[in-house]
Amino acid sequence: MLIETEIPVLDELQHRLDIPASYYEKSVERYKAIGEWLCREASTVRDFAPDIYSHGSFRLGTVIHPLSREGAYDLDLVCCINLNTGEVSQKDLKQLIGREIELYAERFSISAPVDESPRCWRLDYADELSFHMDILPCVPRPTDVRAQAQEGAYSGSVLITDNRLSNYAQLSPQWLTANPLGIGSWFESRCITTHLFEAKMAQKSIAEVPAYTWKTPLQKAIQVLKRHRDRTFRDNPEFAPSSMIITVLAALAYKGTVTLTDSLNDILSDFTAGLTSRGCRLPNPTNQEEDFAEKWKLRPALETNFFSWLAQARSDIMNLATVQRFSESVSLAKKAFDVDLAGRQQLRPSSELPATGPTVIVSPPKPWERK
Amino acid sequence: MGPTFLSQLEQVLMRWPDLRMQPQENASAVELCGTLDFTAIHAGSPEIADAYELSIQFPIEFPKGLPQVREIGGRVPKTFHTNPDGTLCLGTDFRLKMIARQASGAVAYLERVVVSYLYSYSHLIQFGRLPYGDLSHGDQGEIEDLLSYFEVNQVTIAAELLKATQGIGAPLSLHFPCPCGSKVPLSSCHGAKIGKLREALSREELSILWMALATKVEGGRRLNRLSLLNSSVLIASREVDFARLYYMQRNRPGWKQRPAK
Ligand SMILES: [Zn+2]
Ligand SMILES: [Zn+2]
Ligand SMILES: [Zn+2]
Ligand SMILES: [Zn+2]
Repeated sequence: MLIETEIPVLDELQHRLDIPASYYEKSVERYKAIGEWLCREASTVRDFAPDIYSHGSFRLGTVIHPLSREGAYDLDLVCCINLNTGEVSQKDLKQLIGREIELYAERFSISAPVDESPRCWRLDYADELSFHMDILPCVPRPTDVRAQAQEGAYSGSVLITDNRLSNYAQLSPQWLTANPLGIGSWFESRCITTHLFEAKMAQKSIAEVPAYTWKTPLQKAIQVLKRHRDRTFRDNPEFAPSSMIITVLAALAYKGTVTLTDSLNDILSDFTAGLTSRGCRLPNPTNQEEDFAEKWKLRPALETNFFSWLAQARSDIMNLATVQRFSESVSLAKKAFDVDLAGRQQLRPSSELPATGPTVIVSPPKPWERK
Repeated sequence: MGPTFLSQLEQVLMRWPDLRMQPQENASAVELCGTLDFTAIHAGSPEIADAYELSIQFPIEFPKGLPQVREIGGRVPKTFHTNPDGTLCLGTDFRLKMIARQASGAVAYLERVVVSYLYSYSHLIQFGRLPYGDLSHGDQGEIEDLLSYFEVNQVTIAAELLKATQGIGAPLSLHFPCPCGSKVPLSSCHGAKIGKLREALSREELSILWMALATKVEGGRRLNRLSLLNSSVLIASREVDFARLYYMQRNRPGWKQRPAK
């Protein structure tokens, strides 16, 4: 017998945030094209085995549509060149890759300028899909005892450049480290804690199937939270918690539940459990010395905004999951997520909520003012 | 910051889903903006359902810090119980602190304080009078409210009762005669009210309150501040620093000394 089950409102919401698989495929095309460019005959980095791969939400499978129709998708790329810190300064490496990216932009008539940020090159690439490509130049990190201790089970650390450092233009072994591959593997290991997913994946090896096709409850929950963040901080994005903070805290709090509603409930109840009270506020799970929340120390308002946003997200998501009237869920989804659920079929009978009684005012304070 | 702020704020947002958190460059408070709706009733007055547009600065240290509330829908004129800084004057400091610290959370506080203020204003507009009166402004209002709290009619007595809140550290001797002059033991007179004040307000807050009252005039007679200062209670508590308290009192935000007559 077929039982008709209604789609929970949060699943419907997530569905509207999610991007089609073809966008992920497009992103792969984009960075492979850059990889080929770096390996072409005339490339200045061709001899140093350039390796380009994605990290961030395209790697993790947590991309959502931007708030505005004109918005672009952030495609974060690692560009690893097989040199070492004895051969090249941070500045030389950055410039080396920058020139190749400029040439690439010229060759493919990309009119937007290639922008420099402290650690990346940004290339805006738009045809039918707009991407902000953030390209992170780096070299492999030599494996020594300290590196192994920091990485634990997650190898693949790289050394990155940062033009704010005093030794930026010098030959120096003191480079910042990052582990975008390690974070990816760590995240994937957190995703596959559901029995359901294990069963589904039993026949295939994880490596064969990219994470963006998984659609695990953890990935979906992160999509919902990111969109709530985007909407809440639409007019003040400088106060918004980073996608990395949301992703890591959600992954730490996730308990392997199967439905999206239950997963969000678990994640939100335990969302702050990953924060520590001293030292790093949010240690990188693949490098305990790196603090994903390091900006909070310099700007305490960021932490207050984080907690306030979390309270708002808990309240909105709980309300949305339990709201009785269809019209209320539509207006709440619009207000809290800027998502239009109006096209959604009315699945629940609209039942009237029991009226709550009036507030009984007993011995109120009398209005008064400081003169 | 931690679980308390988070759950208090969450309960407020759940109770009034039309209030929303607004990002801001402020580490010590969150701004909540939007509609606060209520249906309220007060003994002897009719039920009123209404809604106001508010901006609330909700401190992360609630209930130690108190929410600052502004009406932003243009309904409450500045001439109706509004502080010079534009916030609603919701009650005297000591009364609000007591409510905040005795209330079972931020929702209860907002209902008790903000809803009752708005109910009072809606009542004024609909029926032409306030349902439960109001206080004079400034120091006089605080004195009136203290008299009404202790249910006495002389400032000297209120000052004596307030003085009994100062001996912090040592428990009150409940078999002592009540300072109000009733000749009844404290335990069966003002003991409970004094105890409640001591529970709700910090030492410093109580000292400031008492010093403010002690400097006021009653029946043409200025209370001898020096004699109060030398009182055994103060000396016994030792941690009360008069010079500092006097400074704090004078420099309270929004506090203006009355011009000397
Ligand atoms: Zn990016
Ligand atoms: Zn752009
Ligand atoms: Zn007033
Ligand atoms: Zn008494």
